[in-house]
Amino acid sequence: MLFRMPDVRHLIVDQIPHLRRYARALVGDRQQADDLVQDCLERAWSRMHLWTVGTNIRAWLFTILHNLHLNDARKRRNAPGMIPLEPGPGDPPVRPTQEDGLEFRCMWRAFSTLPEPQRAAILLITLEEMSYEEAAAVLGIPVGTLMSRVHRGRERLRSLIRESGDETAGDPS
Amino acid sequence: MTDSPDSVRKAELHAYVDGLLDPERRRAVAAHIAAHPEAARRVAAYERQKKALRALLDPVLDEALPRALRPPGAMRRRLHLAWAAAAAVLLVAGGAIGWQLRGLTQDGALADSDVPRLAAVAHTVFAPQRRHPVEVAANEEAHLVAWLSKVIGAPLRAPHLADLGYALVGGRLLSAPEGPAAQFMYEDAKSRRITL
Repeated sequence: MLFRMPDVRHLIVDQIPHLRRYARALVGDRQQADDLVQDCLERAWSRMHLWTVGTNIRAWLFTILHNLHLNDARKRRNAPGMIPLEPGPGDPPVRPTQEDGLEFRCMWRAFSTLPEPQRAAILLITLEEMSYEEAAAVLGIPVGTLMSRVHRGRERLRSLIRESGDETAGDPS
Repeated sequence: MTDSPDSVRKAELHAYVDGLLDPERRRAVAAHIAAHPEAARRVAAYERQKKALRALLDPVLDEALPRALRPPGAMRRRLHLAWAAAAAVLLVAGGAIGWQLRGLTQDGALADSDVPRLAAVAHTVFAPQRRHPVEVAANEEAHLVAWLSKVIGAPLRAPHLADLGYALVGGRLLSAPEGPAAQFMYEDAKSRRITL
């Protein structure tokens, strides 16, 4: 037990860039995303004793982040007199330098129109390469629900890209 | 999607793209894709989506951590020293003292710092010195602490470890990539030394 703490801290620190990437993709705004990660880390430090050694620390951290994000969203909705901001991402979080940058920007615009639950599901699977079970656990939903969100999100994205790609690519479908 | 007996459910197309199928199902789904252009189009589209999202977002992983995710200014330097202290103490005295100091190192932003290693190096260099282990000896503790605090730019304090059987030997100024650092050295009745 005495030697456990530094190890846990390292495990947590290793996840910070990953938490940032997910938060950035989810809320778009860099500052807001980092604030969310900061809140998540504070909570993780203070609840480190609740984490069981040997269990999945990544899932634990992403669950904390997800719940904080939901709370934030709820607060924003309930704040009197505030214009309900759609917290979806605006500009691409980073500027793509590749030659397919245009396609990526297109994809990002389409992606940001998806409902947030679908975006969250797709991001965990795509960026973190989580298993469906792990992603479902993080989001607190059954695996079937997760799969359906991933499917609807990807299909919606596909149809959006197909529409916008018709002019340039001449996709026969 | 067609519903042949060996039909591939739509979930499996996603699992195929996400690399989450066992080898047997993977082969079956690959065969299905080869035979069904619509399935192939879906899979290609999903793969492009993945590629785009990763290209857009992976660079975040390589960004330097923002200040907001580290302790601010002077606080940070003190925490660095505290972390160095915990590292050195753990190195020499083992877990019991490290446990007592755990509260000082609650901040994970320190883990990307070189301080623990530098503290360990400084310990290795100076702790064995018999004649000149410190620059300023413990009989001038007030002067030592004031001097180091001034150079470092943050109020320092030499912790009292008498309860643990360690008396202050003195301290010295060290240089680290991030600026000046301070080392305090303690010794117990058996001349075993720890440095903070």
